[in-house]
Amino acid sequence: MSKNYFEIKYNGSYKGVHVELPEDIIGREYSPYMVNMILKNGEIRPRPRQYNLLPGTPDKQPILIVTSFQDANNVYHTVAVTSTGLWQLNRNWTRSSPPTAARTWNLIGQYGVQPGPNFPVANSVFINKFFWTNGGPNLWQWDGITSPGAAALWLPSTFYIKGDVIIDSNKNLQVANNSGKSGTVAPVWGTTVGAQTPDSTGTPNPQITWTENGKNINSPVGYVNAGIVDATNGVTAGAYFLIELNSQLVMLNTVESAGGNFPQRIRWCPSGLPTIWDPNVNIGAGFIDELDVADNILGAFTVGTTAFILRTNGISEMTSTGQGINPFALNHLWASDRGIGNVFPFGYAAYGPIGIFISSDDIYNVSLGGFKRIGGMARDAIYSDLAITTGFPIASIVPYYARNYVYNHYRLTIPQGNNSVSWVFSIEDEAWTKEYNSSKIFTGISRWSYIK
Amino acid sequence: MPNPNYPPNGPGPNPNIPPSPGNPTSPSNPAIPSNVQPQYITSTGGLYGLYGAMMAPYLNTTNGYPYVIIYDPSNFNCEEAGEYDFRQEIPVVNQMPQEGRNVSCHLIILKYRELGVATFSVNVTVYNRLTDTFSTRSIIVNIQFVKGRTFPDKRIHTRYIGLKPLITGERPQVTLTFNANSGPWSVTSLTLCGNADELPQL
Repeated sequence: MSKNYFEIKYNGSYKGVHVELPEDIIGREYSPYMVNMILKNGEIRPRPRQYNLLPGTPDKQPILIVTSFQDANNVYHTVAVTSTGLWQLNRNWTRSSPPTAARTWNLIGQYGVQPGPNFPVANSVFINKFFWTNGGPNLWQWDGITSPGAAALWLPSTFYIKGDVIIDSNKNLQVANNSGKSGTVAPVWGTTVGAQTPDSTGTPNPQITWTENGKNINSPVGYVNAGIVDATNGVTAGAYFLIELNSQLVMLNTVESAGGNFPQRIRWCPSGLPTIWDPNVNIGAGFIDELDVADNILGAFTVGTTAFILRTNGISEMTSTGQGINPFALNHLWASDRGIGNVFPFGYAAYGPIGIFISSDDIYNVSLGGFKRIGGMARDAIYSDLAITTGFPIASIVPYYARNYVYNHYRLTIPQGNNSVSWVFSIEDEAWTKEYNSSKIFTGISRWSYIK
Repeated sequence: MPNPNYPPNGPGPNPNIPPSPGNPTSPSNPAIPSNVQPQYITSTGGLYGLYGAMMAPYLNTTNGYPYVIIYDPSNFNCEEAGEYDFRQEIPVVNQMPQEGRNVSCHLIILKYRELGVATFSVNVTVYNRLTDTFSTRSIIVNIQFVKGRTFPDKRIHTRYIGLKPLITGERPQVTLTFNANSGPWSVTSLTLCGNADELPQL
């Protein structure tokens, strides 16, 4: 062997893309450039294959979310939202080969105004019901059980779940304050907004108390318009962002049927009653405008009993006070004109105790323990791609791609013309990798959903 | 080579999805798990919640149709081309970094995990100061089916990749590239072997 012999060995673990130093100075565990690779357990592989599992919905509109929820009968529903309305994955979709759109998706109901909004969907599952809103003046709810029509008529000797909505004999909406069994004969319904009507078959069945929630203004669709914020005047609201905090649904950056978009507004429902949003119906509902800061709300996620409200140039903490009238306390971590905030409305994601968002200067991981920069050695490359995005970057945190393949990833897809670039952050390894998809633009988050 | 089980476009069979269990409301159907109570399945349909997948909706900008993809982490036969670049190296010989000096590379020791039939390239790029250009040598690695034993065996294999003629220049850089649908592979380690130029550098 020559005295000038050398060996250069590359082995894991690898740390992903590094563009913050020249490519002959970076550490051997970094890569100055990679695309469509995955780093796992010290090995370098092509990234997992992506293939079409399901055709799109028959309306051929972009799918804004695919997710699953469990109804009150313990049945799972995998649903998709498009600008047409809500679709459900047909249980027998595998029976047609190849699966066709018409045999794969069933239309649960379509919006009364077509087309509906076309933004990525914010959703929440609350008391076995699926709630969603995406930039229109409505918060929709589907329980997975009722199929035709919006709200059912009152029925005697029937079990109702807290939050259920029925239409009384006066054609007013009534919301169940608690779960129980209805009486054998119809009660005398209260006719003023917020009126309480007891309804019971008696012991041992718990008595239901119904709350009058205004006239039935639901669209003739297969789900309920839950966001009635002014029952007297029939004003509804939706939002761009929806979270659950302390047993209350919270809408942020609202869009209302009277007044339009309120980018600084936060609305909440009473505890456990996600179909009441009018403070005159239940004092536990309410709203606040964050007018003491100059910027707008561009996202929110919950960590424990605290919600982080993401603003363009700041972050506000929203914590529960336990008081019915004023249930939340807002604390602006900073209210400066320029500061760390979230600049892409759908570029943030949360998973358990952590949330990740994109600020003007870096990508941050936030949790109750504080903030942490995670753009790391790939930041400049990521921001170069963000700078030429042609649509909304959409982020997801993917804890696993399959039950036996745990890759704890933050995935940020960036549309660029007809193609997409995805930056993937391994939360465990703190390494960034890049993916490229030709002829694909992602239109919703990545999420584990049931298919059988 | 394309994997026939996973057509890149259009829906195809999914090995993770079991065959249809038949009439799901039939209580005599043995495919229905015991914890499923068909009487509770409503007229609106719904699923048992037995199998899931990581899904993402997207719009195919070629045909304008939406689809839902899944990520298949058991299949590393990527449907797109890809690349991994290692850093540019300044070899150290006798504790002396060969900064600005030519080196000659003659061998790559490649260790990989056998995941299936695959083809990819190992490339070495060097800088030639005299011509002020970069030159690249590409060596195609074919992982072929082996008769007489389990294939793929998912174990680590070794290839010696000779570089003849030698690749000479500054700052050798190894890259791995592959074409779309060229099969699954996994590099566990790679060693670049060479000699430093013995001529004095002026």
